[in-house]
Amino acid sequence: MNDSNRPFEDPELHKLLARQPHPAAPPGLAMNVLSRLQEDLRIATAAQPWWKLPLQTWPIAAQTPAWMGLITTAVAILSAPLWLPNLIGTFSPALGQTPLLSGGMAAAALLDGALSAARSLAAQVPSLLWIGILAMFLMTYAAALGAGAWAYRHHWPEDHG
Amino acid sequence: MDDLKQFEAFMRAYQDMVYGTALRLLGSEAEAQDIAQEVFIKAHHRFAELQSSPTAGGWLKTVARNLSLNHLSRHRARWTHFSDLALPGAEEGDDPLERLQPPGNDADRWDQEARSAWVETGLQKLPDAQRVPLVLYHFEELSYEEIAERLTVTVSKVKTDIHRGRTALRRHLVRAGINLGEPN
Repeated sequence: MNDSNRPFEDPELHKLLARQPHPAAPPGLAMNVLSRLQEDLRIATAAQPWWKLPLQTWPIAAQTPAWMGLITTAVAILSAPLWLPNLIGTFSPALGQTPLLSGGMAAAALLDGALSAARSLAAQVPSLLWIGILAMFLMTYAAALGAGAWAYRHHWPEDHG
Repeated sequence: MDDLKQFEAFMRAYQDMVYGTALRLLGSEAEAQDIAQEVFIKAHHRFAELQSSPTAGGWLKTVARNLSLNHLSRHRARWTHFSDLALPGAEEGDDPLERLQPPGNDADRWDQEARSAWVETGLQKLPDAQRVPLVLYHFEELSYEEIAERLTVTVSKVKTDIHRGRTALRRHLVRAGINLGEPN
């Protein structure tokens, strides 16, 4: 099949037909196909219940509690090392003594201590000092940028005309 | 939306080939457009696979050919016995392309584009029974046996129909001053 090297009957006519360009498609063909695809998508979407569609298309009455639930779950999961061992230890002191959970509680206590220390340290630093540190950082950044631009212009002048 | 934009570019790259394949087989612009739309709807379902495939063109051409042949057999059921029946008011040896008027002798108008259009018009006006096997042979490059199998007719009928189609097409070309010489 499709062996273009094989001999064809009436080779002159075959050559003429093989050289024929494809007739041009009507200008609206692509747009008609796109319209049909969009219509198919719209029908398929309309046929689905709202809870099977993306969350941002849900009704507001359902979307608000759904977002709140998601955010609460995310916060609970991320902060689990801080509260989960204590919670388990409260309800079941024996389980709280297992190496894994006691290790978790120790790590949580360490993390909690480090965060508290950082908070109290930050509270002791006057706000004027923070502004000074930020200003120093910005000035150093601007100076480094300026020095880099100067070096580039003077040492590689051919690269920028 | 990005997917549709990419698909639109894909369609624009192949639309002439798909539409042309359907038009030559069906001989009708409206039906060819319908078939081309079907081909691209199918292509969209497999776009992730076709997008980067080097054989996308071949796949599209095969689907266009198969859908066109299915359309012909389902909606017309003509070509299988067309050449065995006399056309209304037609006698043996009648030329179906005789009534077409070639362009005048204006050399500016008779350029390559006009010649191509004249050939396409001739193809479109051939009876289905002649055009379909002729297109499958000369454009789709199928063998007589493959055409006979695809059209569920005998090989001798395929040869006869293609011969009649070629003869009519050659006369059509001669009328416009395109002389190919004697067939071998």
